[in-house]
Amino acid sequence: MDKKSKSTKRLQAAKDVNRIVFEYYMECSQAKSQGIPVGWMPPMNGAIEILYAMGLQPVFPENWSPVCAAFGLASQNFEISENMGYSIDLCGYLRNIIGYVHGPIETSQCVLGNLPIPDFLLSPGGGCIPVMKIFHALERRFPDAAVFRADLPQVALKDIQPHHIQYAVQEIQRLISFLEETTGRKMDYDKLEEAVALSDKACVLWDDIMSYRRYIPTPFSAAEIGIMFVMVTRQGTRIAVDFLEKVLDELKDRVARKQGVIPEEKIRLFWDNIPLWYNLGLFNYFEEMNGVVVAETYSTAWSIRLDAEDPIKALALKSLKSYPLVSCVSMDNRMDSIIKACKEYSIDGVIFHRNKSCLPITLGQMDIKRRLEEQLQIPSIIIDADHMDERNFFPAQFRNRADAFMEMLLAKRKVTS
Amino acid sequence: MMISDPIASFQQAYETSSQILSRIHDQGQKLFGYFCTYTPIELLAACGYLPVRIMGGRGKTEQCYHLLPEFICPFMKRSLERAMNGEYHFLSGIVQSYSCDAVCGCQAVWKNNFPDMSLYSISLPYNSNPQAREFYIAEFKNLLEKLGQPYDPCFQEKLRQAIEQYRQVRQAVLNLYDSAQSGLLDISAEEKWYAVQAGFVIPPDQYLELINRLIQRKKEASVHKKNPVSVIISGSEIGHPDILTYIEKTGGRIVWDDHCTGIRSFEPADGFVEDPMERLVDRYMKRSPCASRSRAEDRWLQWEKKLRHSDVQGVIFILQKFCTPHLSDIPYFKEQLKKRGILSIVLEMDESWEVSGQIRTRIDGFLDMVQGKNG
Repeated sequence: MDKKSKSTKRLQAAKDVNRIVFEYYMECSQAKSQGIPVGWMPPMNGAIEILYAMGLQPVFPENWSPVCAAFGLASQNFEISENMGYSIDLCGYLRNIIGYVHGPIETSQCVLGNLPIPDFLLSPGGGCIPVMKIFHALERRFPDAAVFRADLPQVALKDIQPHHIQYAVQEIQRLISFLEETTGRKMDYDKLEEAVALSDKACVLWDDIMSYRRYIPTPFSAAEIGIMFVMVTRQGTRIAVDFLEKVLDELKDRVARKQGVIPEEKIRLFWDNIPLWYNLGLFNYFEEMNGVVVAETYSTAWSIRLDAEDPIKALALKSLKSYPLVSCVSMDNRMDSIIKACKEYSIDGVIFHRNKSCLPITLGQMDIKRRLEEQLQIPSIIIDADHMDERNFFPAQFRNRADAFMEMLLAKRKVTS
Repeated sequence: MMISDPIASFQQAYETSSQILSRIHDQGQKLFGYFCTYTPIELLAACGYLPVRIMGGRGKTEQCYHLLPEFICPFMKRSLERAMNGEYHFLSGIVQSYSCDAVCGCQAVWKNNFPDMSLYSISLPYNSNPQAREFYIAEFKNLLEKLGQPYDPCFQEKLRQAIEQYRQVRQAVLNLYDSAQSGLLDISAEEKWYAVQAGFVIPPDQYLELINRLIQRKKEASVHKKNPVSVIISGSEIGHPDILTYIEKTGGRIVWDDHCTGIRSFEPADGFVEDPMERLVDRYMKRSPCASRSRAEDRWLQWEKKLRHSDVQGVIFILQKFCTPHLSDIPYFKEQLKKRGILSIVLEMDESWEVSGQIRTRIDGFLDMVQGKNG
């Protein structure tokens, strides 16, 4: 097994993802020359719909990091940031993007081009600390960019109270005023309603798509996780909805034909935490032993609904919920959703990625592991790695653990059947 | 029983805090824990709880690895280890205020493993505009609701008293810093460290008596002031004072600190509004900026003021290993210090807080270099 490998994709839609990724980054590159203001922002909040509704170009530096990992550009970015004094113990997203903006942002030969220099930054207060610190560093790197100091309550889903929603609503309104003032463009509230409705539609489709993975054999695996790109970068647009409808049609067809990922699906697996962006081929590794990763934590971040009739509140709620859905902010919810998924997706075993680059998702894994064993008698395995930095992934160690785990699951299956 | 020498009392209180607090608990006093000083302890005190800061300290980490990854700060590992060893059995609960990702996640781990404790999180705003202030008040009142405490006139009076008591505590610590800085009080960094830490774990009335006695202690000698190299120390929690002692022994004179367990927790001592809840919020909103909740630039503004009024020659960053907020700010600080011609060094400490040979060598070399540079 190599440190880096690409996943084998089976969906026809995978080809469309490549096109959508390419077009998105081309759009980012061309925005400047077309006079479209460019804003850099963190993902998983309600600002994306606002930017699209106002005809502004959203750019997600956090999302650029997986691109760098996939194209083998991360190591040079790490070198730059680490030479600046950023510790190797910091999140890989942080080290990658800081290295990128201080290095090859205008010279890199990436086939997707480069990120355009921001006109404004939506700098978050809330979310995880590394993302907050990324934006503080970006503020320093791009002193000419206007900065919106965003704020968001960090609260577990079950604890959300009216004052949290009210504050999040005020922040959305403040953001709109900031964008109007900074870019000179007025918010068109009909367009905002439309963007929120499209975003909601994408979330509905997303849940539908995920639910098709409950079929045995599953029509697609975590190796196709790239389809999530539209949820990160294209929410609030027709592009996401059209693409997801196409994915859904393909899945319906595959399920009708009982076409699985591998010829003989024996073991169904759940993946917790962010994948190894430089080694999505890891998902295929389990397939050699008739195992398929049929569900994962990360995809639940989009399992929300947005009421287009009250778009500001809908975006406030989306902002409040998205990050806690997958992180330790809402641990009870995270635990319950994994238990629920294990039941609904007929999971035989769970892979916990103990991710050196993401403490908020890693913390609590041992408790979830224990509960899975006690409540559902589902065994699990810990994989020590890093979603960005391949130096923290050891293939031999992975193989040893994964092989033993799969053998155990197969033996268990043999006994029960 | 308190020992006549305040420093010895502080040290004993800190080192035996589990036993002392356990006894207080057995006498009927309820206790609530907190990890960092963004938790509004005045609210807890006004509700009748004794607020106790959860400390990591130095020691082994064994059991905690059943629940935590290795790559989390020693402070969180040690505090969980201590809890798993039963050292925090007396706590009714904990309030955390999203100090950082590690604290938030560990709170969830505590919740799953200590089901008898009530664990509450409060979300504090990062901004300081009027909406943020309103949100702050709402969030504090929300905490009271969770604690089952109505915000009635009777409680407001208790809150006023709690605010006044902790104002006195903070002011006393600030006075201690001033006296030490001006040379009126001869106190080593280790002694000062114990004097400050004890305040987090013993009842405020007892602490006030002791610290005021310490401040009034007459200057006997000025051994520490003679040290030639003036340094600032900065970073997250300091779990044991050996490293401070070593800095002093090798010629360092600590003129200011910017640490989670240092002066940052005490400034300002109070808010400046009449209404008790608004006064409390005013104080917490104006707190000295920390790496978890602020931009490095905002922290630097405060540093500049200090640098203007002191003869700082070097900066020693003492960090808990894996501390994301502080590690993220280091490059900016090093750059700013370099522009001012001030040398700096970063030391990362593990849960043993052992001043290892390597760390000693680095401190020796650093202080020599600073001294050489400054003639």
